[in-house]
Amino acid sequence: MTEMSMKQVIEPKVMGVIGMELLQSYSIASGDYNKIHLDETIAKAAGLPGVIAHGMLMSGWMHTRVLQALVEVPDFKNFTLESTQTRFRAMTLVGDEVSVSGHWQIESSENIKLDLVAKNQKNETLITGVFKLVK
Amino acid sequence: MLSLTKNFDFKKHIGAKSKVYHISFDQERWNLFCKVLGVDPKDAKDSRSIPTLVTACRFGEFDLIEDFGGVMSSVLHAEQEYQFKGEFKPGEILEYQTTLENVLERSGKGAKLHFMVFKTSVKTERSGEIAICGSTLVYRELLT
Repeated sequence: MTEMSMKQVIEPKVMGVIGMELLQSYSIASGDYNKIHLDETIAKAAGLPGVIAHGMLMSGWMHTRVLQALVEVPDFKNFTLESTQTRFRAMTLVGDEVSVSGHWQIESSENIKLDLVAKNQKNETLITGVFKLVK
Repeated sequence: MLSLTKNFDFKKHIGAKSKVYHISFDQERWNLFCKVLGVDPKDAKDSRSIPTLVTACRFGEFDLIEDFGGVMSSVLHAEQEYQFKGEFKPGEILEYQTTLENVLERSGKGAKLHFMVFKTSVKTERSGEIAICGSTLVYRELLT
């Protein structure tokens, strides 16, 4: 694994469906109690279409997909997650089913890059992310 | 509420630092974070299995925005970056401090957008710096 490889697919996987109980649980776990994630009235008063999911819950699901890939893909053996960059493209709403997919590429004997995208059931892009693995 | 025009000048706060915070996660909260993210707690002996748990180190961002006169319901995520340098375990104390590194402004549809770039360094006594979190938040200020 010394040269940049062809891009390989990371199969889409449904990470979850956004519901109020899930958002309440994430608030407790993360400590992020911003009301736009919990209260429809406040979310709409803030100019949003309704309650939106925590951006970092979406980011967390993308990281979970990376960690699943670390187990699934033999080439990832002995690699660990070094850095990540996620960009938020659209709001994730209550009722959205979120799936994560993408591709990966060997950059050198010590580095692998994953490009992932999280989409909803309408195939709208919610988040894109670049994840770097190192040996 | 979406902020009514206050002519926010967040740029003057570039370089501002939050206080130093300390946080730890008991096993119950740790397991809840795993459950929400779809990770079996039995597979999460340390934070490498749930790396975005360091996201909980965000009170520096929240408190700075409120110190500047902002309200959290006007804030959305734009970008998030992490560099992972180490791990931590349930019960371990994390120490972190946040700095406002930059502010960019742009006018959108009926709102002025302030892109606030924060950087948070997270440390443990055992390992020193374990993560650097970069966070770009959008503050939406309604134009009237």
